[in-house]
Amino acid sequence: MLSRRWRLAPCFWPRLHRTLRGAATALAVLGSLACDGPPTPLRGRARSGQVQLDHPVSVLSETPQLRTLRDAVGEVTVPARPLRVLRVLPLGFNSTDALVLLGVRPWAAPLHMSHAAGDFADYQRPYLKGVTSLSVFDAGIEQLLALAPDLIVADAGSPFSLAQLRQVAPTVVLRVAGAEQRLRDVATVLGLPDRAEARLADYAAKLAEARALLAGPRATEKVAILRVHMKQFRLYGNALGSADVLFGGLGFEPSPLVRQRVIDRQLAQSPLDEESLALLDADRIFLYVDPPAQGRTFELLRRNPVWQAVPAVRAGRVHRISSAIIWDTLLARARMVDDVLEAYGKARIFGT
Amino acid sequence: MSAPAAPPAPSPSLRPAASLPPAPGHRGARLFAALTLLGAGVAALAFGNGVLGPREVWSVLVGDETAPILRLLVHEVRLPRVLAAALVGACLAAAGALMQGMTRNPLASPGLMGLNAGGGLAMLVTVLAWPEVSELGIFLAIFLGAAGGAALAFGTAALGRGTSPERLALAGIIVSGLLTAITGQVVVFNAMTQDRLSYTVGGLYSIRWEQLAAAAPLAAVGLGLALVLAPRIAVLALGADVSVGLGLNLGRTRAAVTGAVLLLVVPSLALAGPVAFIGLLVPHLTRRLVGTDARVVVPAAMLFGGALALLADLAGRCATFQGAEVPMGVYTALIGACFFLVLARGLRKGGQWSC
Repeated sequence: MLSRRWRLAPCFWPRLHRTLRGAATALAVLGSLACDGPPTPLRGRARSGQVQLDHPVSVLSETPQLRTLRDAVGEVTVPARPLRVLRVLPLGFNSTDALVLLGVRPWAAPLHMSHAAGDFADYQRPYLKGVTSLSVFDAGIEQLLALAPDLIVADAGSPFSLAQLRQVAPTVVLRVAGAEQRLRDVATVLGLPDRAEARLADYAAKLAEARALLAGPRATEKVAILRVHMKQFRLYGNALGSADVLFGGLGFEPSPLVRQRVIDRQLAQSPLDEESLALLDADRIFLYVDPPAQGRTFELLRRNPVWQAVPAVRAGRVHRISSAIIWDTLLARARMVDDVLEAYGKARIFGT
Repeated sequence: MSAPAAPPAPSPSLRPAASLPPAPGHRGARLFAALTLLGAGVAALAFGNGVLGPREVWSVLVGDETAPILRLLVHEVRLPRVLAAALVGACLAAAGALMQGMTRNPLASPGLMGLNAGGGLAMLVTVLAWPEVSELGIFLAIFLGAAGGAALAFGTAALGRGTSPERLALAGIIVSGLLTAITGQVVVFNAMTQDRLSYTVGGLYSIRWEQLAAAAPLAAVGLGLALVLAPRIAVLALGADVSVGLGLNLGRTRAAVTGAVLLLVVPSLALAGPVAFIGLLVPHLTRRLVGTDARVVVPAAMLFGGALALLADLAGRCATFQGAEVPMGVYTALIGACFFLVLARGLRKGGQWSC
């Protein structure tokens, strides 16, 4: 009885044979895929050391149609068409702003996750009118294919794999770099190094002029940058986004609380609880209110009794600034200079 | 445990509580609960994130303090927040006790029955759609959202045959999960990723007296109603047939309890968002301490709930991460999850939920 129950059905061996054959085929396919190289994200490559994070872009050879570059990953050949017909797709805020500064209209531009669909950062909006927006972290590779760019300028932190991107268009991977370096790298990719140097010189001149204009308040005021997100407050030090323009470039002194809570602790920014908000001792506050519901956030802040008791608020020395503060690009830095100038202009320091 | 019976025929208007023997004293238990709340309240008032210490708070409260900023912090920040925490905890615990008593389901609670998730979603959508909405508008939205969430959970449970505790719990988890997922989608769609915690984990930020003034009357009515309904819940515990026999109008009682639960959940959601586990955990702990008589459990749960919320909020204020507060919902969820494990272990051993 038992032996009958355990006896194998006549069709067992053929079935097993078919199953094993199928499994072997699947394994072979998987193996061949693995040999092609799995789609490793650029982020992963950066961690594993395949990307030379500090390698600037350099031109290896150049013809009227093609330009061969050495980027953070290796060699790449990109089209060298006239810029007005070249569809350049930047995959990061840094590269988008660099293109704008170099006078090249991006074919499409990425949004940051703190902005709703179709809504570029406020400081970028004047330059990106009519440009297709792309939510990079939600976009699939299909969306990039549909855009059919001629050239992709990617960060080492792009969510796509290099293999995927290179199927869409020639892709240059840029090093992780500050505002000036990024501008130079993008300019090298497009063959516009002179224009980059001219923009850098413009910015330096603008900064120097603003610094001279602000010499008076700089000597007498200690300032703070506060970012408000719904009911949460964050105090900025000098190491994040364009905050360095205020404390470094324009040379303003951070208030003692900023120094104590952020800079001395070597933090880029520090959350501030509601009770500590009362300690905000700056003579002047630059305030950035996060989207969405900026109106409601600001209204809640305005009605907050602790906020009302802050000395700078009572003295009417609070200035709302643009989101340029949270980005470190040359375009954002220039806007930050304008924001600070405007704040002091409103305070009637420069004449009328 | 038996499933609730079908609604009975109308019964004569006899006071049901009169049919029960008087509640055992449990004076010690009540005193203990009151002292716990008091202790938690004093601790929550005295300690915080460095700016205000016990000495400063004391000197402000007795009127010795002259620094206006310290007076402002105690009067406008610390006091309303502490009161709000106590109120939220009391409301949620009372709501949980009422729901567990009415459905005779140990898993019933505002968090598991879709009320929190529904109200939280409604609040978020309202604030985003009408940024200038008044406090009253937010209350109304939460009320409708919470009622909708509960109706969805009970409706889902009633789709099949009967509403066993497990069925109802599963339906509640499904509906809560669905509504929380939608909340998450709204948060992501509106690019509020940094703010996600405030809408999925309850916490008390920036509580104003106006908010408290709007929430307190509703909460007071809800808490009062819970106390009034407690004797009926005690009768319900004897089973639907017996309670009808004792003269309880089942339909009316259930409607009143549902109304009370909504009155309790709305102010707590408006003040703190969806705080997890207080409504589930505190009634169980209370029953373990004072027995199962709802006439004692409901008031004691209010006191313990307030104490737990106060301590969770205090922990969140003190254990900051680089200055960032931890929402109290994180701590209540942490305690609640551990408690759930203990409950589940007891279930495996004894084969029955302790209700």
